[in-house]
Amino acid sequence: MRDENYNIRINNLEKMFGDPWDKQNPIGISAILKADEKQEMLESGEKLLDEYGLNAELIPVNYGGRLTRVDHLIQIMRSVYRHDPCLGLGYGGSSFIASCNIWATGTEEQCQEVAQLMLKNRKLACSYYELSHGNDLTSIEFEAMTNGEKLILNGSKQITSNIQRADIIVIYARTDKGQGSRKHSLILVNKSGIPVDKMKYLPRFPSVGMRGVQLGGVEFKDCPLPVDRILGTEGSALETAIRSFQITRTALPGMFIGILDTGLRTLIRYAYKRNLYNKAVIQLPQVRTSMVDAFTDLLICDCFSTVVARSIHLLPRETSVYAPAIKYMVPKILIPAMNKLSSVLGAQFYLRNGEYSIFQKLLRDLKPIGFGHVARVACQMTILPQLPRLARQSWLTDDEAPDQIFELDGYLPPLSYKNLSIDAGGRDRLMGSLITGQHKVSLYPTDNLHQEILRLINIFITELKDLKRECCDLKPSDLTVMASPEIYDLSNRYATIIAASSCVNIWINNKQTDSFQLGNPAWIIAALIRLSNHINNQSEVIPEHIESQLFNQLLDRYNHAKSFDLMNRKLPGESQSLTKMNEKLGSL
Amino acid sequence: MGTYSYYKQTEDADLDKFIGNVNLQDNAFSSSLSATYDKQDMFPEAPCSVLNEFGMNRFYVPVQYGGSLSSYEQLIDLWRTISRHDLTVAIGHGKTSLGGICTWLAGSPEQANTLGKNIINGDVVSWGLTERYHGSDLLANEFEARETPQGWVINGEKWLINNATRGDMICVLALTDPQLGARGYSLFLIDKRKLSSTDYRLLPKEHTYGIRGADISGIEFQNAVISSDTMVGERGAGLEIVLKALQLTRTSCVGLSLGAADHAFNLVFDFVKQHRMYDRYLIELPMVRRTLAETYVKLMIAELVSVVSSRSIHALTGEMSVISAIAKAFVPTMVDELIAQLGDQLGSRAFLTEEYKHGMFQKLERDHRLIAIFDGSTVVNRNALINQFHLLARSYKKGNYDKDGLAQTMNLNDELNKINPEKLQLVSISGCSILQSLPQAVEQLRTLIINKKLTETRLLALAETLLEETNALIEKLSACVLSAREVPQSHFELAAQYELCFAGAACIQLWLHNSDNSSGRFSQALWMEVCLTHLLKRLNSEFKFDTSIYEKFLTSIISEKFNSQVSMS
Amino acid sequence: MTDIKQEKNQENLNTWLTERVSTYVKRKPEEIKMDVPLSEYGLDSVYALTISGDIEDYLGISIEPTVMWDFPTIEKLSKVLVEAAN
Repeated sequence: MRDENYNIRINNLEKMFGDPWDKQNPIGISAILKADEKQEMLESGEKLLDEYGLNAELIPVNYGGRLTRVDHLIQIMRSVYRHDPCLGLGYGGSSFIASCNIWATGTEEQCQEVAQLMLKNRKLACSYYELSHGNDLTSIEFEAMTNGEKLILNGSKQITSNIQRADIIVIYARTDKGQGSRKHSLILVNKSGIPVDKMKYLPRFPSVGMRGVQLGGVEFKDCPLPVDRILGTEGSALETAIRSFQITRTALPGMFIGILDTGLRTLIRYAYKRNLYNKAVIQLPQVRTSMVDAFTDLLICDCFSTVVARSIHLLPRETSVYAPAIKYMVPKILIPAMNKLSSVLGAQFYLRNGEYSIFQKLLRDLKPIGFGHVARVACQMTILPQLPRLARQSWLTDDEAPDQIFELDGYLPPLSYKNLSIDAGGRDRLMGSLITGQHKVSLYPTDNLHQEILRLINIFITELKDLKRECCDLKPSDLTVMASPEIYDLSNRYATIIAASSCVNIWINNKQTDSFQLGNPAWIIAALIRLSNHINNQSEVIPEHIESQLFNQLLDRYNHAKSFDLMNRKLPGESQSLTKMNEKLGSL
Repeated sequence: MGTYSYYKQTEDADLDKFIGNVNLQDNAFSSSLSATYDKQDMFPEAPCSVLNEFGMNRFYVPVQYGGSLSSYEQLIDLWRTISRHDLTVAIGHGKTSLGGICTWLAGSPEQANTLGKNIINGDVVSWGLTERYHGSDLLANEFEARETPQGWVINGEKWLINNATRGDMICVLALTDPQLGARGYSLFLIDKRKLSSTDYRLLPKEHTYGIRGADISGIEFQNAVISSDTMVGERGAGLEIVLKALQLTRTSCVGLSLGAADHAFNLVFDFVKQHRMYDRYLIELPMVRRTLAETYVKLMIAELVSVVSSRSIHALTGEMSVISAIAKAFVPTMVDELIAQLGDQLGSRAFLTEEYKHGMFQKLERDHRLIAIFDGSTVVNRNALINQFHLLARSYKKGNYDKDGLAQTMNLNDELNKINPEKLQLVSISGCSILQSLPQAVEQLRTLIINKKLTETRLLALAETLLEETNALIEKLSACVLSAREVPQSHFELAAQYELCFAGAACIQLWLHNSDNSSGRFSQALWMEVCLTHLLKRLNSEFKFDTSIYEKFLTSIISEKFNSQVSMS
Repeated sequence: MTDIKQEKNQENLNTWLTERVSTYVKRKPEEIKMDVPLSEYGLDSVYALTISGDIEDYLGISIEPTVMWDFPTIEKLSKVLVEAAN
């Protein structure tokens, strides 16, 4: 589908947010930090999103919304996260996670019911988990047992965001006793139908980050509901959740990338202004290295996130293994990247009301990306069982993904929840694209840069050969939760190779378009170097000539107030006076 | 949970015992109270009072000035004990120790005796070095003192100073002769109580990411007159004294990190023992067990570096410019890493502030982050090491080292000599004896095997590999082209590797000197093996080893913990 | 030690010091003047301590690292070092 006015909408959203660094901006940084200190949602931000109609971005077009493509959804939400991640998660996150289940498996009436509410700016909450069971959905105890004609709800759910504000809660509940995968169902609980004495809220769960997000819980006691409140067929909760996870597990990390964007921007701002040992901090070599490393990491995450978001549309079965890979990998990159930047900011990062204090809030807000929604170990466990079959049938073949997947902003077929699957069926076309990608690059003019890119791609192909051998040797007994760390690590290595394939092919398919500034291969060399470090635990450094090109690109984007992700989008904010900056930097 | 410190405090210094059972509601060190102080950005008065009752202040004053401080090893262990419960308390209370150091190093006997008395009486002393906009660059400082017939007139602001407000006294570094460069600074110990209210104003509390309850503020002096006898040390000696004092204070920080590491490990260990998921206790899962093993190895390595560094203050005093830089860069970084790795096991419980154990994990994580940043960040300390690369390379190649100093450092049962402050140097002329002794240590291991006193040939193999890595590293250090301020990232990587080699050498020497003493933790070959393995893995990504060593190691730790009689929180 | 020999030693030491400093501050030796404080060439006080190790090695004597703070030009430093060596 083409989403014709998507660019208009996102530019409009950015314009509404304005320049966060502008001290006069009522939804700028100081307002954001104030809300964080008070552990409240940013009121002006929520009003803005009401006005923009953010919920419509979460609702499919046929129910009156604007949701057509996951990559566009990520971009829009990333804008929000770039300003205030807490606003992003607290306003839209829970509704997004809950609604995915409804579009996936709800009846027409259920979908309309939910859509109508959301279009009125009302919220949904999604209660999967119980504190005592972590991510193990098969142990969920909360009950919704049928008693003749009614569902009877009994039990409690904890750590659900927006549970008090939401009009509708999607609850993952046990509808049948005993062990097994068909014992649970998703229940659509519309609070308006609940007797007051049958439901009570648990006290709020305060958190160290995303402090404004209202994490709460609920307890039901013998609460009757009509049986038609079950979403989809009875016993289908696990299957539905696995499907909708593929969208949410892909989209959420993509949104969180906005945190690194602002973090890096904050650091650059600091580094320009601050002097140390008679130089601007930005002139210190190790500071530049940190910045370029972070910029590269951001691009890696965006490549991976974009490709998987697009494969939801184009390779829905394989997304069953790509989505957990990205939910595993992106936190693994983003968290250390932000930590490194914090060490460059030093004491300034540690202050809650200094000029750069937005950074410490971002650092705390980033935390849920690791364990939130689906924890990384759970992701590894989702990937692992599929690897032997993928290894045998698909790896090292040239069964490649359609080029379309890698075309930034290119056409996508409509999103189909039905086509999502719990299993890739033995095909792994992103792996195939690594092989065909290498082949394409080998036909490019043989200059140093292309040779270097080939060398780096070959690191991943060599690793793929090792991985294939090891995965083919796996026995079913190796694939349980009791697997050794080395076996779990197979998932990590898999995710890294897929990420590399995403980066390489994004480069191949977009370098001729000027709009994203991807033509210069410096970024792909840097990206592959940094990804290869995940494979061999080394710390190969980005070579100086590559680093300085990326540094200049980064500063250029900063000075022109452009986003640091692939889209290189113009953001509100004054373009810095280039002459002034150059003066400050002297000879660079 | 068992006590962790290998160091056995004497009766009158058994702080663990004095603090008592923190699980009891009314204990001033209880987690619930700690969480409350943190939430409200409030100074932890109650636990600090307990420390006062214990007489913690006497450990901030050297014996010769009326206190009980005779061993930095002991002081660091006391800080570890406090930090195990609450870093904010350790930092808030311990600052007085930092405030006093310059006076012990350079003050007149009268100044030192007076200060000693005051501190033991409970005075809080702050240390005012840094200024807004100048960060760690002390040479850019502008805070000044002008000499007049009435004494010194001081003007300027010190900012981001721990206990600037609560402090009764503050030791400040001031510019006394702007034209003399590095010799233009002098130290003054100012008693705020002797000033009038117009002489200074206190700057507001800075709200911080962690140690939220601590008093991080500042002070601005406006034409305050102080008498000449407030100058500590010679005029113009300020910077030199401070740099030497920092060698002691930076090393002491390791106690804070170790306590935080203990606390983090305790929290997660307790959790994985009792929490069930996927039909099992988490501690049964190999992934979880590996995390426990790896983080405990990191803790042990941090601990062994801390032990040798603290003892080196006494026994290898002249090398502290190198050793303090290593300790301050290495230990907090390692501990930040192990805290993050442990936090992953807790999932949302490391994120919620009132859930598991009153949200202690997220508090300690935020608190600990400060250690790598303050008092000379990791970058500053690695820079200090980088500046000595050529010196260190030459010293290593010469092959000399201080045998007596090394022996005293490594023989854990040996009494430590009184510190001779005269021996502190700004540059370590003898290099780094601990690393320089590595070739000899390898020889010694070889001899033990030949004489069949040691059956674990694996240990020798590890030591030999470490020696190879070290030799290769030294060549790289020699080849470095140094630069004043344009230090490339690659040099910082080399500094990090030097730290790892140091840790490895220290590990081997500790074992060689203490393997006969069966009660100490550094006496066990298994532990030395696993520490060296981990270090080598970090030095060389191609290093291969049998991962079953982790499981062996974990089993031995668990049995130690369950068998330990001393129960803590 | 005769005066002439001392002068020659002084000359040698000046040359050596100038070359050392120039390496550290990445300038040509010709640019380093004998009577200009070394901090002006970017050899700040803390970094300057690094050279003391080189000096000790070259001259075979032991010196206070802070000698560079007290004698902050090549001219002054060189004089006091020659005295110390004799």
